[in-house]
Amino acid sequence: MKGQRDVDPRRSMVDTMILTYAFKAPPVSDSSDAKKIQIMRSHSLDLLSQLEVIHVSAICWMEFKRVARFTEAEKKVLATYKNRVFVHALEGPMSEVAADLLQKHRSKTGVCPKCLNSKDASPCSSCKALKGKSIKVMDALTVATANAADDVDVLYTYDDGMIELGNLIGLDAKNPPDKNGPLFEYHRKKEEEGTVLPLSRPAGGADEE
Amino acid sequence: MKKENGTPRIWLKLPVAATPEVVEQAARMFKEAVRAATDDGTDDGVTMTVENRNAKVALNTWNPASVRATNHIASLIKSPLKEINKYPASQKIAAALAEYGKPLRKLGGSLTVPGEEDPIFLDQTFVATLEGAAKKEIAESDRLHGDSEVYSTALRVGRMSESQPIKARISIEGTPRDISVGDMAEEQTKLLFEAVRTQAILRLRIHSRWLRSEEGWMLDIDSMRIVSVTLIEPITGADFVRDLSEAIKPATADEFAQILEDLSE
Repeated sequence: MKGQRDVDPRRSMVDTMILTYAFKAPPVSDSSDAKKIQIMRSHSLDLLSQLEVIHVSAICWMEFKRVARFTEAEKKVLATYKNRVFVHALEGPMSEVAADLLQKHRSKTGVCPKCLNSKDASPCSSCKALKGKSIKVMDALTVATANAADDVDVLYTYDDGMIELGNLIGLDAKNPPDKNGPLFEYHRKKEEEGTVLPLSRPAGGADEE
Repeated sequence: MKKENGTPRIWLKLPVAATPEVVEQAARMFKEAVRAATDDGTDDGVTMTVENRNAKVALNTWNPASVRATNHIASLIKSPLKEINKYPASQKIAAALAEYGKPLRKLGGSLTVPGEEDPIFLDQTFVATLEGAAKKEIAESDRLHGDSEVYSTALRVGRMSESQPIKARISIEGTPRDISVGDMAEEQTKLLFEAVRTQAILRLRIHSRWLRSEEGWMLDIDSMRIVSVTLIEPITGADFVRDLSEAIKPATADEFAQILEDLSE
């Protein structure tokens, strides 16, 4: 299980979500998802801190700057890093690969002929509404960029859609390592898959989702 | 090493003695054709055997990439236009065979390729046909032009002679390549020369052309031109986290919910 926790400090790329959780997630929050956000923020910061160089796709760098609602002063600070971070540009052949990936994914999952919902739709863990895995053009372009970069082996993301696209192309796309250790990561995954009974938790406790 | 069954082998038979000059010319022709036929422009995975009396030169293949490359070369020798129409990237093979086959055209030799019983004469007609095929206009849909960016150190910069363009040896996908330097400001060219000494990492913007091939889009290495150079001073993740955590204010819970919503669009 050691390999799951090791981060290659020179050959890892991060996506928009990692950057957003690291720098924009509120350190404390009263929202119902607060604990989960704190964990993702902490893991994102931990991952970034381990890197010797930062690889990011041009698409993610643009997305990060677009969604994170930076002030003018923050934008100026961020601009000083454009020649210190490895921002991987999008090239023509990558967009061809991305188009193939989107096509492959669509033909793989299929659509229900009755309700026209994606066949990979599953209930949301919070509101229980049925939702299809969102595969976006930006995700496909990011996966294609990471796959084409010869100095990148792993793409770190919290986006399941991107992980799925990575699998289609043979790219190692995964969540940042869990600081609590692989045992807990493994157990939580099995709980979500429903293959083991969840650990009993005190009712109304802080850990209850 | 025992030769695998079925690996393609191309024979060049010449009715002359295998003098060092003849062997060198034949080797050069095969080498350049293989380099033009592989994705990474290398000639790994092929060997050549030479028989002395009546020069008989064979191109042997030892790995899947070289088998694919040799298949393309064989198809091009058999039917140049058919192969180029199917895979426009094969045009580079035609150019290599025409250029490096030219010195051999008067020796009365022939090429034998898999799947073709009759030998194909390596004569003036062969060279002229391949020259024509190499210059055939490629359809818009089979080529892509664009800029790409590469991060690399500059290993060497210079020119072979006054009449030639400046070339920089940089690492592309792990392989050192000599890339022509296009029209750049003098400052940028100076930066390139300086980077050889300092071994600094550069972001190089390169104008390139890609051609459609059997394996997808293939970079035409000869078309590459460096059009701009930027010095990169990489920051470690720890410094990045420290600096940005100080400079960037985290969002409130409501703002962050909106950020996540924007991300999901």
